[in-house]
Amino acid sequence: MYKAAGALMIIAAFSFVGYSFCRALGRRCSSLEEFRKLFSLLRSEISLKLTPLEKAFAAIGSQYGNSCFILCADKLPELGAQEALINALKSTASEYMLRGEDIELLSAAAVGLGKCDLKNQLKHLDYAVSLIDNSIVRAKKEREEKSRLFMNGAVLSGVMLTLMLL
Amino acid sequence: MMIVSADVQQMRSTPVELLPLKIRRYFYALDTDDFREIRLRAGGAVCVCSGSGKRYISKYGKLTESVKGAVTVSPNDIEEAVDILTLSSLYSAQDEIKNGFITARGGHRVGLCGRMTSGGDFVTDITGLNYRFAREVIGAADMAAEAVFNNGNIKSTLIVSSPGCGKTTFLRDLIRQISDKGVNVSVVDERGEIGAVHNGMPAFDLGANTDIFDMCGKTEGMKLMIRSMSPQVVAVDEIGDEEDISAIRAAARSGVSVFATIHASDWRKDIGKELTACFKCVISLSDRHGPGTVEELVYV
Repeated sequence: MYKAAGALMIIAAFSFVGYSFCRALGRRCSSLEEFRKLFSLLRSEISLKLTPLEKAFAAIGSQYGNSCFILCADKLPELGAQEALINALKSTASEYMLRGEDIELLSAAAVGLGKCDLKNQLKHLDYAVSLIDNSIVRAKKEREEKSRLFMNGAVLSGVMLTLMLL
Repeated sequence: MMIVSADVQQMRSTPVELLPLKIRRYFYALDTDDFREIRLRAGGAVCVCSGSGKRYISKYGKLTESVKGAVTVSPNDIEEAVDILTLSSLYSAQDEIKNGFITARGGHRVGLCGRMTSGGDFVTDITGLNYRFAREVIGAADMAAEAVFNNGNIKSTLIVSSPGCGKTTFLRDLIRQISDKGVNVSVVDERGEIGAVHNGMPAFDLGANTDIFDMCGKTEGMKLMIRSMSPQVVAVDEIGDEEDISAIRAAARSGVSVFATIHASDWRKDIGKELTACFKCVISLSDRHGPGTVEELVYV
């Protein structure tokens, strides 16, 4: 009886680990998609209304409940746009399951932010959005490839360990 | 008791708060009431123009006549200053920058110079900034208001002076006084200096019956205001182009009076009759007894 309960617990624990990995992959994809949407909205704010960045980040961030944009708006007067966005991305990376490569990529959008005229600012944001698009494709592919592997692998590892212990 | 909200207080901030941090700290102990301009030039000394002349800021935070030992401005300071002035959003002020200035919160106009891009549509590598203090002087136009507004008859008025003699301050007070008498005044504020609108709220009191069209070209703005706001008076700052004159004529034809300012040291010599003919009253200002000294008030 105890053995059966222990075996179940081991399998459940390993399954949970596998599920966590899968969830992180899914969350990363949805986060990148969210950031893509937010940067597109930022582009629209800038191109249509010439809204200053602090106001634009605060408005978009609070509208979509994005803590990264809200934090960026808070820190922007003190640090400047570029530094504020990079800092906010780093601070909220774990919340959005973003990896180092994602931070680097999203930081590319921060470089030169607020430092050039409208035409170049929009070009820069377009470039950043296209980079995020590519990253989303890669992240989705990775999720498809690895999520089943993680899940099955974790369950099987749990079963194997249980058998070994028995 | 007058209650001023934190927002309004912030809008009325002095240009000192818009300086880069390294330079700002030298101003903390100084009385800036008398200041008219602060000039920052990359590689040069921080220069202050006040009623008592031109002086520099020493490293001990005091005003000095000598450039020696004065606080110098680095290109990084200029970059930081532009960042503060544009709220880290250069693109949002690009139309102003193209015209050689940025209007900061509080209505303070900051003139700038640098390198014009080949297309002539932007200034990069900014090397010099001139912070001009915008002030509200209630009662500056007391004497003129009665002459301009007589028994419900409003005279189109041209305010003339050299730069820095208080034209805009005078115009602002004239607008306030006329507006408070129940006259509908439309202000076309091309540089955002008259009303200093920030987040949709004017920082200066322009009267109870004033509508402001902010950051809009004078010619276009006057047409739009006359068409849509049915004003009795249209007020504009710093006219001069042929287009401005034709817009003022069009306003006069519509039965609308115009208050305008123009740069000139002697209006009789420097301003063409074509322009003065559009006005019924010319007020000439100087800074003989401080900015806004009325030298002459003439009915044309």
